[in-house]
Amino acid sequence: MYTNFMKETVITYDQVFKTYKADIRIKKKALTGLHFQVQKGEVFGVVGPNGAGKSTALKILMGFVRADKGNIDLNGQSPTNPASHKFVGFLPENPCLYEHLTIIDHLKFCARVNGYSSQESVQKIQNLIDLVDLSHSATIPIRRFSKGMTQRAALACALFHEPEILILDEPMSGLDPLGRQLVIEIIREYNKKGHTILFCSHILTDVERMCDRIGIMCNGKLASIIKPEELAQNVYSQTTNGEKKTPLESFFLKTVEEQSL
Amino acid sequence: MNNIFAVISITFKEGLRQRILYGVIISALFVMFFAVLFSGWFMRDISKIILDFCLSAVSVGGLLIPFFLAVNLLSKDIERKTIYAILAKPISRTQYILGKFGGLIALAAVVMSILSASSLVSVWIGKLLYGARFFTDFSLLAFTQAVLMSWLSVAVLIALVVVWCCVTTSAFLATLLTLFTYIIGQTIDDVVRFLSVDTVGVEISATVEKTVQVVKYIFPNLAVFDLKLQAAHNVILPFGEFTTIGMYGVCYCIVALSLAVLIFQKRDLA
Amino acid sequence: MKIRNLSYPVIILAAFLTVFFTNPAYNVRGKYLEETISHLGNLPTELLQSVSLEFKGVIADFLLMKTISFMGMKIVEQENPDKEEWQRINQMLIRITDLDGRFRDPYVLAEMSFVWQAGMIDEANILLEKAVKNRPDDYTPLYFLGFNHFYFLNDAEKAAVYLRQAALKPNAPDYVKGLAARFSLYSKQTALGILFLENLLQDTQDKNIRMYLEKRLTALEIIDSLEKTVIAFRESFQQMPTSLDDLVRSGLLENIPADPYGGTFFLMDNGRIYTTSKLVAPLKK
Repeated sequence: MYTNFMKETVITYDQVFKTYKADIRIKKKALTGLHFQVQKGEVFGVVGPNGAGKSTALKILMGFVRADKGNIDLNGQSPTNPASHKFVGFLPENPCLYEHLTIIDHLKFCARVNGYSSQESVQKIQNLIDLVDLSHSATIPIRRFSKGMTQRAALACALFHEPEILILDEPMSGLDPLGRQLVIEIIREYNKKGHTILFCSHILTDVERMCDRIGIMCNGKLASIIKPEELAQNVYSQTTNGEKKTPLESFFLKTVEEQSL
Repeated sequence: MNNIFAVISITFKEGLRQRILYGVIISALFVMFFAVLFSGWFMRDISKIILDFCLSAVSVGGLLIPFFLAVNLLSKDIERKTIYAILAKPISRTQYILGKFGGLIALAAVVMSILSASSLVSVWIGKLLYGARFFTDFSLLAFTQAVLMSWLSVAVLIALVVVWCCVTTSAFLATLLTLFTYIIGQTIDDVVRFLSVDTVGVEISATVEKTVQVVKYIFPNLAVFDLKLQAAHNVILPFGEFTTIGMYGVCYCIVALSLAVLIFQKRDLA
Repeated sequence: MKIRNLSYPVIILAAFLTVFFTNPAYNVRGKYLEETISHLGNLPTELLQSVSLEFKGVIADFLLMKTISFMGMKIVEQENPDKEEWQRINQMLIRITDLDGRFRDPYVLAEMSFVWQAGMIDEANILLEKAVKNRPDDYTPLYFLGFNHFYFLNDAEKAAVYLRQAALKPNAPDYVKGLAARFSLYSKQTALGILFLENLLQDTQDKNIRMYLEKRLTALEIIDSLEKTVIAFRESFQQMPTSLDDLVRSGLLENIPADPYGGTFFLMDNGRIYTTSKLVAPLKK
């Protein structure tokens, strides 16, 4: 049922806890009560220092990792239900696509899983390849791709079935400025169609430019959520140690500092 | 079901493009050529010798899938996170496991079919070179039975490889466990037989006997699928016996895969 | 979701069927098993050795296990392997001992089964000679060789040679030394034979072999007592009896005892007793 209700929540994290028991002695607390929501149609960016739990949060959302405690809601369903992925596209960090296959093979797989017939998919595949600017490398196996090319290929796979929700884990990592520009444009265009975007990133400048709301994660939970407009309104210290910082950078550093106390 | 076929297809394609496969086929073809040559030195039971070599090559070719390819396509899938490409789609973990298994046995089937076809060519060449009189008893049915059972044996092993890859993250450990499984699978038959017979001067403790009685239902008896010797001597297995072995193999695969699915559901794919 | 509910009964059924089909599957394989032994037994031993790399010991163990299973299976099925099958077993034991010469079990197996069940004395002796070379500190192969020569080949002289060598080994029990000494000193084969058998019976647990040994012992004891009676006759009457009937008539013997092997005892010229059965059981099959 389609509702044009902007305040509709599509993603919910409700007091989510996760501890990795990888080592018998060391237990890594990845999430310690993560709690926030993402509204339909917005672009929500999550930033945080390394080890804050950003990737874990996204992996739990996709059902790759099970939360110890708390509720997660993805598009009205539990993440452990594969049907929740029907209207969701996911771009993992350092995406590894199958080395020996080409991007066309991968897109054909997407087509098949999403129930497209061979005729429908041919045109769609071509469109997507053009969109991510990989037309010249369509028949080359992935192992010969550069990092930027792999990233774009994976993005194409995530976008194949025009998901309502797009989840991206460090989408701009490892891309050169041209590649970054391309990805940002794609994401922007995609959001304009009314789709929801949730992503996490290290690159604060991109986050500042693209997001409707920004969440700062620290030590496994969301320390604060802020809107870019608010950042501009409030005057945060623009210099730290004599270096000029962007508003988000300053806010980020301040928040992280407060959290570690 | 469509999802399972999609995973089978992508696994199959990825496996097929691995260069190891071509190395396997070339080596096996070499073996078969050698078999034809070698058998000429005996000038006696030529049919048997060619079939011995060729069926062994078929087995070895099939075994390369669980030992080398399977671990690559399973453990590495999780290690390198390529599994996300599949699980990010509306595909359940069960479908993933079944699809992987399907892809792997399909790969084994392709490899073994090519090798079987070459075997038949070897037999034909043997006939031309040495005379048809050595091959009068050659039974295509016996040969097919042996190849099919060899494939089933590989399938059982692959099912267990899937279990091991769900249990451990390390590709090395999974390969090691596969090796142990294979060795145990091939020797358990002899061990059970040895212990079930009262022979001169051999004393077996009651604990060992009881353990083996239980263990024989748990470990797969891979030796029952070995029909190479029968095929080499042109002995055809009656339908009932063939079905018995077949049922054993199929049911074992189902149980092993169920176990794999169960384990995999709980796994964190961080 | 429908698949989910359907799969549980399928899995349980599969588990049940796996257990159900396990034994039949083993039986099917058992039917075609013997082929394996002939296969391995025909491999040239050098090839087997080189293929075994550094695992000769383990492979020898494994092959022995296969051989014993094969033998055991045959015994269960038809009560005795036939001539050809015995030869196959022999080939296997030769290869096993080529892989691991110090391995005691194949030699013991050969001695226990070849001589008593297959009548393959020569083959056993060949293996035992190998054992003598490969197990220089073990008295057992020499002891067995001595026994074989005495019991089956009726060559007491050679037996004595072997026993003497056996007595020299560090692990030889005392009675072996005693036996060796007596063999050298005395020519009274019967008494020595009795001693030999009594000692062997002490060592042997196997029911079947004990049966053979006890039978032989009984026969020798009868012969011994008959020979003693002959001596008594000579001392009483200053001449040798012409036949065993003389002993009975003279009252020294109640009646001519029966030969456990089914033959008839008779008196030889030198005062020794022998039997028409030659102390050998009539061959079955």
